[in-house]
This record gives sequence, structure tokens and C-alpha cells, in this order.
Amino acid sequence: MKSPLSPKHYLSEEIFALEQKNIFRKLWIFAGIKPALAAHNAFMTREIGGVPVLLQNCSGKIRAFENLCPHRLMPVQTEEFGQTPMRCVYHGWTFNPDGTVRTIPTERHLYNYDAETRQSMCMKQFAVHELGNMIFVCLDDNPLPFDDQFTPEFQEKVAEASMFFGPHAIHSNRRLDFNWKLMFENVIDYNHIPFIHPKSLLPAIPTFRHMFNNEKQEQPALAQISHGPEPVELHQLSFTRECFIDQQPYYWTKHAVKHYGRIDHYYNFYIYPNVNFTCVMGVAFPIQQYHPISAQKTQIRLTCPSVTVDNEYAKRHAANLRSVLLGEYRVMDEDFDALLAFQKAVHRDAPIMEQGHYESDLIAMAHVYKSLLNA
Amino acid sequence: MSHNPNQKICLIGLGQVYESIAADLHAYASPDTHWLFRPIGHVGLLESCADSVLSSIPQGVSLFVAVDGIALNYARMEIFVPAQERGLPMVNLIHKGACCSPDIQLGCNVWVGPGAVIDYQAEIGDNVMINPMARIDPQARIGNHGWIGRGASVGSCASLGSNCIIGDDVHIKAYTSIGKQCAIAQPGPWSQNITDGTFAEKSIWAPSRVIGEGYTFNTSCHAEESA
Ligand code: FES
Ligand SMILES: [Fe+2]
Repeated sequence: MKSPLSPKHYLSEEIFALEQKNIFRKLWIFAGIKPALAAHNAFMTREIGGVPVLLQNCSGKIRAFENLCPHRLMPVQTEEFGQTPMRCVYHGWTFNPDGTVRTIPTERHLYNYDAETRQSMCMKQFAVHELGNMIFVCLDDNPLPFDDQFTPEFQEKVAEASMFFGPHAIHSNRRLDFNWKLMFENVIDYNHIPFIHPKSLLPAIPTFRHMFNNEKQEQPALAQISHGPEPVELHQLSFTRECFIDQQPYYWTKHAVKHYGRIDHYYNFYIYPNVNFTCVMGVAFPIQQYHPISAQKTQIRLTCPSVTVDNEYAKRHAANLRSVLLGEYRVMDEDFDALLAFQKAVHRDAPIMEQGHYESDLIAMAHVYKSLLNA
Repeated sequence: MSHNPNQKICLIGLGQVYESIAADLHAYASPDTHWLFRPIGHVGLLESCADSVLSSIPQGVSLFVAVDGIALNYARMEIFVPAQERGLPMVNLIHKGACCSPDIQLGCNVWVGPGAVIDYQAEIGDNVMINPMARIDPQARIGNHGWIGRGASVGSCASLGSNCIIGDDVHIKAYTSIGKQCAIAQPGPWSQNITDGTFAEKSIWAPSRVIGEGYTFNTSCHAEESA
């Protein structure tokens, strides 16, 4: 089967601009986790769809704004994470929880705005949806109903798993030179595991060991998006998969108060368009986000939340999360090498990909993607 | 090197530091020191056996807790902290092949491995492991529960918060300030000041950091209202 996508979908800046407009500024996009914002005035800043976004806890409610001061368009919060009231660093304007301007130092002497202008000035506010401990933002003025993007069953699962997050997380950003779609497609394409991860992932996952050794073994069936000839819809693109894992738990996680699901399972929650949220052995919850920077540049945003533990020393030691982060990068580095090689080699006149039966999910996803792009 | 002639020292723990001390006892104390050993089979047993191990130590014996391996600093605390809470005497073990300026300040349960150098007026907290050939420069400060890797160095007047892991061959430059709970495991020079919970690893490339309560915000902090 020919892929619905052509090489230009991984190369072209015009297509990237369309993606930003029709996907990242239209859909609900995962923005961050609640434990990172769990106090008044705790905030985080990031970019979504080319727009600077500020998430700020305003007296317990998480709000999202365009992080631009209406005065001279300075970012209101300049750090990536922190805890300060919304006050612009440049001329000291402060803001209300709804984004309107609260105070302007020396307003009467220097600014002299008419009443209408003064009232209309504000930071633009965006729609926020909390799903368990996961925060989603939609930049569109008429946000898509959340249920149109994610099925109620999927929402329930993500909410349930994310409620196991502890009070900390380790977060890291890394830029790589390949198109963001490659990484999302890559995590759904399980068939690369024996070739790209023969030493890291394959030995830990009996589901794949058995599959590739043609052994029959009782195991969870790999979930698929498409089951028949009917066209796939947006809400089907976010789905879960699970399989066995037989790795030794990290030492510190043995103190986990509770674990999600089965301790011998590896769960994937694929959140369209660009998140792979996983749960490893019920206690580690790495969230990978493939954030587009340009047609050929992606920021890998990796957040590994802690789990609640009952050991005094382990509790004080967020540093233990380092082992989860290192484990994630160990596997992802192997993917990155492959995807960087793809991006280097592909060119505008390269042939169309030939996809096999097992790639029906990717084909279905590509059809939805194209219809979003041309909407 | 300890010179107390009738000293009794009990070595508790597991891992490389434990092994290296046990294999070289004469380099840490006078030959007439009486040594006791409490090896622990697995790091997962520390929490459950802390009480019974500590109760088994006779009066008049000083302790040294050596635990490393996975989750090294936090795991060592599972014995170190209860021992400290019981008020048990703890010693520092300084290899005779290490070189310490006489005016340094050392907490307790500090290990200084062979070939390590601690220069004048350096301040080292409690429960810090300074691996062989590491160098702590004048007036550098290292917080409690630290780990300084083999061949690493901490430059003069640099400061490290508690629970920091400095990997092998990492060189923290003079005057650099490193928050608590940081890990720098990228061999080579490091001169960036970093906040609590920051991680820099060769295999990660970009510095990573801990976010959440106590790191990027405080629940108790009544930050100035915008109201
Ligand atoms: S730019 Fe924000 S106050 Fe002037
Ligand atoms: Fe992979």
C-alpha cells in the first residue's frame, strides 16, 4: 500500500505552516502536568503552534494565556517554570486572573489611555481542559469539543493513570533535526523494536520477543485504530496499547504507595497529535511529546512524573527520577539515530513509502491528518 | 587517618565503597583498631534491616555507613539517618593516601578515597563520599549526602547543595554554585550555576530539572499577590 503521505510532508515549510494553523492551533494539545503548577502563582511557559503560551495557577485554577504583554508584547513570564504573579518585567504592568490589565505604574502621568482602550487591553486567554493530572490547551477561538478529539473511554484511562503522579517530575527538552511526525509514527510502529532496540527494549518485552520468534504466548492483543473499511475519525487516533514487561523495578519505586494497573505491564497512551504517555510497571510515567519547531526540527519534551512513595528518604529524593529519565533516553536515542538518518536522506523527489498490512494504523492516521490539513 | 589506638569501628553497607574500605583497612586506621562488619546483602533490605543492624552494635563502637550502587545517596541515608537519630558515634574514613589540609571542616561519615585531595578551608557536610583521585579546592563547600566521583574536582569557592552527585571526571569550576539534588554526570568542565534539581548527563545532552513542590514553587510561600 502506498502511504497517503509524500516526502514533502516531512520536508516542506509550507506544510509545516499548515500543520501549525490547522492542527496545533486547532486541536487540544497536551501542555503540561498539574503537579508542576500545584500552588498559587506557580506557572510554566512554552510554545504551542508557534504561539507563546503561559499556564498560570490563579488561586487554584489553572489558566492559559498568550504570553505577551499588551503594552509592548514582552513575555509576561520569562522563565520556563516558576512562581510569581503575572507582572510584566518591562514596565511593571500587572494582570487579573482573566488576563485583563490590573495595574499600570504611573498610569496617569505617562499613559493616558481612554477608558475603552484601558478596559480592552488584556492577554489573550485560551481554553484549558484538565484530564486527571494532564493539562490540555486549545488555542482556537471556538475550541473543538474535547469529546470530539478523545473518546470517553480513552479520557477515563488517561485520567486514571495520571492520578498516580506524585508531587514532582523531571523535565527535559531536547532539539533534534527531524520532522515531529516521524517520532509519533515510530512509537506506533512496534515492528522496529527488534531491529532498533535489540538490547534495550526487546529483552524487556516478552510480547515482542514472542511475536518475533513466532512463539504462541498468551498476551494482550495489540490494539489497533482501524478495524474495517469505514474511514477513521479523529477521536480514534488517540488509543491505548498494553503488553507485558519483565524488567526489575527501579529500587526506589519499590516504595510506591500504589501502582497503576498491572505491575508486569507496559502501557501506552497515544495522544494525537504528538504525545506518547506510557506507564512502566505501574510506577513510572514518562510522557514524551514531539513538539514541532519547523518542518525538519522537533523539540523532544520529556516529563517523567514521580509516584507517591512511603519511604522518607525516597520521598525527599526527587533525584531518583534521574534513573527513569536515563532509561527513557537510552531507548529514545536509538530511535533518534534512525530518524535523523531518515531526515538526512529523504528529499522532495523521493518515492512514496510502501506500507504493509501491519501499518494500517499509520495509514488511517495519515488520512485523518490530511483531512485536518486541508480543512 | 584515625589515630585512636583502641578504636572500634563498625563498617555497615554494601557496594564499591564498602568493598574498597574492607579490602584496605590499614589505610584508614591504626593496626590495633578493632573492626566489625555488617555487610548487607541487597540494597532492597536496607530499610527493613536498619533497626536490627543498628541495635546489634555494641557500646563504644563507631560506625561508618558505606552504601553505593543504584540510587546511591538516598539508599545510604536509610542507615545513616537512623544511626544519626540514635546518636550513635560515626567516624570519617580518610585513606592514608589522601591529602587533607588541616583546616578543613568535615561532617561525619565522610569517606575520602585514596589519592583524593581536600584543600585549605574546604567545608564538607555529613555523609559525603569523595571517591579516589577527586580534588576539592580551597574554600569549596559540599552539602550533606553528596557523592564526588572518581577523578572529579570541585573548584575553589564553588558550592554544592545537599544530595548532589558529581560524576567521575566532572570538573566544577571555581565559584560555580550548584543547588541541592543536582546530578552532573557529563565528564569535563562545568561552570554554569544551576538551581535545585537540575541534571546534566552526557546521555541527555540538555540539562534537565526537577519541577514541582519545593523546586519550582512552594506551597507554603505566599507569593506576593498580583491583587
Ligand atoms: S511591555 Fe509589558 S509593561 Fe511594557
Ligand atoms: Fe523505538
